[in-house]
Amino acid sequence: MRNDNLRWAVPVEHKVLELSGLTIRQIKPERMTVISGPFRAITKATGIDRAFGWPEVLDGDTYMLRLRRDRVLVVDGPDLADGWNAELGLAISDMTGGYAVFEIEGAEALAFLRRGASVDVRTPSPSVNRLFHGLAAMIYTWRDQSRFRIHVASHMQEAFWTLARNLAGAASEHATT
Amino acid sequence: MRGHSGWGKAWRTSALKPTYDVIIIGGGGHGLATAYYLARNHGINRVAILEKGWLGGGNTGRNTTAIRSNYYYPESAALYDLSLRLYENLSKELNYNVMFSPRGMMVLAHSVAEMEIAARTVNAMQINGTDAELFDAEDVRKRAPILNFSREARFPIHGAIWQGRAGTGRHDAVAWGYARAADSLGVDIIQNCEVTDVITEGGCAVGVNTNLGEVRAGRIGAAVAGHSSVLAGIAGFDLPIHSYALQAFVSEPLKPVMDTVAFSPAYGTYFSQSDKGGLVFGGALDRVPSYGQRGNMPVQESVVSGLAEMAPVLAKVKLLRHWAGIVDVTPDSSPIIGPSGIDGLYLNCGWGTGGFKAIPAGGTLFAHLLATGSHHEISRPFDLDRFRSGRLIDEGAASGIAH
Amino acid sequence: MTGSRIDSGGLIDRAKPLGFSFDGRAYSGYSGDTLASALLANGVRVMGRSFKYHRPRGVWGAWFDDPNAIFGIRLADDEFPNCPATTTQLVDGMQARAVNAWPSAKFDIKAGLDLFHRWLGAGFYYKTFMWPGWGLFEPAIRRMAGLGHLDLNTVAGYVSDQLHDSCDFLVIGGGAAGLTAARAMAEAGQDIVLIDDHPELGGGLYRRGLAIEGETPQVWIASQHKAIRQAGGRIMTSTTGFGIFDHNLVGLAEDRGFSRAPRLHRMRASRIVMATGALDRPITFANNDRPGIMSVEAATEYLGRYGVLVGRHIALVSNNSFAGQAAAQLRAAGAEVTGCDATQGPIRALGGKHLSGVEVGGKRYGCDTILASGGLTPIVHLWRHAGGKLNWRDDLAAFVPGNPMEGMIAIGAANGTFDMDEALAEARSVVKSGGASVRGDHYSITPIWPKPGAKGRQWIDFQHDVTLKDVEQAARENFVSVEHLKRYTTLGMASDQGKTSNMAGLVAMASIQGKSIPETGTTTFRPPFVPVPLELYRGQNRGHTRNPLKRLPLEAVHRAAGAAMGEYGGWLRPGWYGEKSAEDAIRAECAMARKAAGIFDSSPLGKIEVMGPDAEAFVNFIYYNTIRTLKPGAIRYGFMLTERGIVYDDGVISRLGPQRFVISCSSSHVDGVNANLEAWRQDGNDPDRLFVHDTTANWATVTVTGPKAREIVAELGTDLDFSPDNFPHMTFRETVFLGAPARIARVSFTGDASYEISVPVASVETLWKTLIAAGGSLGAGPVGLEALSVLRAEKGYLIIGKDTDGETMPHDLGFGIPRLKKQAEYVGDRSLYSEVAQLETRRQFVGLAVPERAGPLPTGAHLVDTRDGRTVSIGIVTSSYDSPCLGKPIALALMECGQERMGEQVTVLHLGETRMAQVTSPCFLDPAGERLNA
Repeated sequence: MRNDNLRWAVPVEHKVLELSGLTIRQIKPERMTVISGPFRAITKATGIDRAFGWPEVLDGDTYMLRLRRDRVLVVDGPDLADGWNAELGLAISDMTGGYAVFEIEGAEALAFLRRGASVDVRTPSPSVNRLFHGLAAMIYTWRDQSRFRIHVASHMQEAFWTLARNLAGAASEHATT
Repeated sequence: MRGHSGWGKAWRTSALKPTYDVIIIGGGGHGLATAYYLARNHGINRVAILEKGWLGGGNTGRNTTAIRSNYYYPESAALYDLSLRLYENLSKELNYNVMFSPRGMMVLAHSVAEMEIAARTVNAMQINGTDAELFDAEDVRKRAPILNFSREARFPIHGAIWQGRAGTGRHDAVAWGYARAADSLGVDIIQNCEVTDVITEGGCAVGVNTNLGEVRAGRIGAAVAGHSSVLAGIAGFDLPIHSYALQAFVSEPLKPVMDTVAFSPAYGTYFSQSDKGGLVFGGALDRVPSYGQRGNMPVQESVVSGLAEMAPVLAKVKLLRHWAGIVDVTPDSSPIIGPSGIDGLYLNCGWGTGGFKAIPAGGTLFAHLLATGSHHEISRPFDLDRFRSGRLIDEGAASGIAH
Repeated sequence: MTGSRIDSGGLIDRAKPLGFSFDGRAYSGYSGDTLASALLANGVRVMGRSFKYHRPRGVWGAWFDDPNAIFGIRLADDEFPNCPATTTQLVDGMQARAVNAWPSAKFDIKAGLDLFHRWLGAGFYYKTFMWPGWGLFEPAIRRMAGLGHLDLNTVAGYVSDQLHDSCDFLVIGGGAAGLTAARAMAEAGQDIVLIDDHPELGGGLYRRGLAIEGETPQVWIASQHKAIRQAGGRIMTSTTGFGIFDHNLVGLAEDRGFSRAPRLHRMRASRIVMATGALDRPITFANNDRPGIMSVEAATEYLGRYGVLVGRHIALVSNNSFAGQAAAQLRAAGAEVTGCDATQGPIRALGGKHLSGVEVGGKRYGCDTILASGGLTPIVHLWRHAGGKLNWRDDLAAFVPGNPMEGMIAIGAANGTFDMDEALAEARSVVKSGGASVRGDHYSITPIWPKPGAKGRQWIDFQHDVTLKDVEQAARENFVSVEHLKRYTTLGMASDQGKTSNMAGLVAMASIQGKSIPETGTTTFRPPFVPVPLELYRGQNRGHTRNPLKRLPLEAVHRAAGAAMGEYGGWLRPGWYGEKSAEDAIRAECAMARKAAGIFDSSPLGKIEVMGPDAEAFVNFIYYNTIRTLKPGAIRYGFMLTERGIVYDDGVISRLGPQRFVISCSSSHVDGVNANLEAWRQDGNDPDRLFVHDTTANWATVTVTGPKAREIVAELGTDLDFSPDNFPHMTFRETVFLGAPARIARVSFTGDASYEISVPVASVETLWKTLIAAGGSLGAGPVGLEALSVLRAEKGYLIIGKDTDGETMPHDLGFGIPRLKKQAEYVGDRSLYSEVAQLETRRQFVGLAVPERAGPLPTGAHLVDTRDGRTVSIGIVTSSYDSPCLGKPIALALMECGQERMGEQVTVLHLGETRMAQVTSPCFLDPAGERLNA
């Protein structure tokens, strides 16, 4: 029986990191919903007619991310009943607490992301699903070419934060040399 | 003293004869050992080994040289310990220094749960009649002080399964030693000879077609490792095997820093130091079926970083070379020895990542099968029919590595 | 006379002198020097000893083609082994020592080994050291082998930076061809990256010493550099392309300075331009390993890049047309150069540690330095990594890249285009097709190859001391394939991986065999192109960001409550609470949980929803137990089997509605179960009628268990009626807590009445605090995983993977009915009737009892029997604890025919010691289930 308290850093409450050319902060969308099913039905249920992939630039507070052919993540969308919607043929699950979301901004934002994921602006992908340094993540462009958002499973947010601090430092240092 | 001029050819360059008593397809360690034991144990030397490339050029020349019998099931213990015992005397038997070095092997345990699994395995090994000890952390540190005992270690060391008789050998020398000995007993080793077809008559395999012509035999034994599925395709039988690339690595040579073999399932890497000084190491497969004998960066990063984590003082040591072989993996991580389903054609394959340590046993048992037409009691459990009966010998599950 | 610095020239910064030491003696050099160039400038020649015979060695090459000068280097607190002097940039304060030499390279006590060379030839260790045993000789051999000594301190801050990168064109090599191609493509609007492994671009232009397109090399290079940058191209110097992997992924190692780990770029290039140049290869002749024998290319490189003249009286022995220009440069720098035609007859170096001359075809020439060039060998390693083939060119006496590959081309010297104008035209044509081919000064060569049977000791692999005689011996012994030759003699296996030895070795063998060179072929080219530190592959995949644990929403609360956090099933969870020792804390928590209640964080439990019209049939198929008949609001325990019939996971399935189920699988298997479900979903089901959502991370769960659990949960302020008749065991209710949905499942892992309350993550802190407050006044409190493990064992509740092994089937665990009765098909059904599944001697789940005073049995002990005089294992102890509630040790086990042997004594063996135990039911507590259903 081992007490590992000292091996794992105490969880960080306010996750904000500011470096030259790079800012990373945690944001908390009001609602996140995973919906699976035919896209037409999803549009009908949410009132949103477009789901975004990479490297499309998203805007607006309410948007839809494509995870796979038959699955989306709706951010700040309507409050839909959890479970199976028989009329539309949709599986709906609230995941507001299931993902931790971070916004990455600055001249070095893409360089930071590329320390964990092989994202390339010239290689589009219909899905926002990626691996970020081995963590399952969703990565997409937000508002402009130097701002991105990344979602990781909420139970991995401490791992992401520790990694992000180290990778951000490396990206920042690289930019200045 | 004439220096080396007194040693003649290690093996003859033989011409392919039209018929033999036994043909062995595959001139790797298992094929060569089989031929040797056919001649030595059974007096059968009208034998040809047909090797597509240069002998010992497959997994025998690519592995990370560990020799051990720290397995869980009694059937496995019998098999691998037979091999270990044969290795212990092999240099003298073959009059060729295979440099077998019984420097011990440890399988690290990094938690209470892993120590419980370790205890289970140590007890199993002792019951199965082979040597095993349950090490605590201090025992491990005495044997391998460069391992990661720091407070920052991701996986602290609690102890290990220790097998003192285990160790390493010089892989090429094993192939060459068996080749030389088999050749001296009259076996024909035919290199650059590729089998293109299996000739059957009345449902019975009677020979093979090769790029050097047709050759017939009373019995045919296939020991072609990663290419077993290819041969199965040619000959028309089914094999529950997938072939993957297994990468291996060697560092630049250093003065001695590591005197034993260490494997950490948690870090995903195993390593030892060759007598020439390079650290020889490896880890998981590239799990994409391939005959390419090369792997890719994600696995390289995982394995190499695993070594740097196991022994952080090695982070500044340089990687000199990495390569890969093709490993034939069965559903239970145990080999296949036995009839193929086609009369006259027998199999010794499915060793996956663990064929090198088993060369002497594989050769002995396969020779027995080819000479007598029936199993030695040690090889019987590894027959292909176990996939029908369900009597698998699942060493993968036994290792307790989470699936 | 040996080397010296000339008054001007080179790229070094003469305004920045640097001090260093080598083998204990102090020297100085300049910024921009390598250790090799600085030592040569100081007149040092002997820089190392060969691996086997400890013969003195000087540098052969000026870059990665030198196998001889390998140093251990100390700088401040850090020490690195095996640094090549030719590629290590000089830093002020470096203390260098030749590896494998003592006390110094100049005077090595093992030099006497060379006297025994006749018995130490290729493969000598295979033929001897067998009697009495290898073990006797091995320690000494190991100490003699190895190059550098490893300093056992870690280097502070030695962390690689790693990143993904991409481009349209990756140009590897910043020499004339590479710069030209990069510029042309950048100016044509392509996204290009140009890399070069030197700190300064230019490749071979400095050593060539001629104008290029009318400009001096430095001016021309600067123009290309500027033009490329202006056109938006990226340039990285001190960066080596060390390997090419599938789909044009190129591994780049960017040097960041001596004590810093390099940076890894995983570069995905749409197209690769290989402009890696060519190496000057050695001539094989008698005594060709002496210090002072270098390649022509090296001499002009030392001159052009570093302002070092390698010797005063130089014999330049060559067989190709580029020698003349080299001779002219060296003369202009003040050396006396005698040109010797290597084709004129047998060559022999004269003199020992200090060269005195060279003999060519019987004629003697006095000299202090021999430059020997056998011709250019294109550097094709990366081409081969990518799977490209090689062609043999008789006119060049070299292997060149074969047919173009998709996504990769070779240009310039790397492509066998040795003439400058042709190379530039070729480089420009990368952009447009069909460039004009202009003939420049011809490269012509008369091949001169090793002559088997020639007199004298002639070296092929300098570091490993492999000579022509060793190749002859290998041939004699029938190690004739190039791979056998390599492995038997170790030719090409040294630090340079054959860059200076492979050609001579394979040609010698070809000659002996009477085969052509292309027929003989080369050995396999493998990454890394030059040795790179292990750290390059690690980066942030280290320490606690390596396989990081999942973290609980309540972690801060647990820590504040004094929890000892530990690693359980991939999560960081409380093991126990409080200041007491672990044993005392666990004992107290068990007692409290049985007497009042325990409150614990069960958030990691899986919550995988299966939804849709086909959900019922699907869940019924996935699980061994019949789930089809489960009613909404009810919960059933079930096993998930593999196709082999082995129990993979257990869990509880709750039915939320006609077309909605929640699978609560074990915490450590959530990802595996989710993947398994999705894989089966996609196998033969209508994808529109069935969906699997892993919602585990969205819900946090707190469990209250114990006789007072009901009272505690009643304090939550829900509208639920918790009376046992209205809320029985194995049912659940949906309700509201703090305005958010809550699910309360009455499932037990302890054998006492238990309520698992799942709420959205945002609500869990309040939920926890409410329950703790309510529990506190009733004598209840938090319990950790360790206590929980004991409590469940008292009830005989198993943990899959601990109390089951890779063979356990459901009927071994006492769950035999579905196997006999379930009609619908399910995963694993056929395997439950295999021969092995029907054996009567299967290992079954049982309990074991021992006398109170005896102490718990060791987990991992085996149950044994004696058969035919041998001890055989008939089972294993899978869990074992001191039970505070029962006041005695308890254990769980898998045992052959366990169910039939209830009450019998069995022998337990652990590390050679035996004890006796009694076979019992695994349920030690409340078999009637009264506490459970209360």
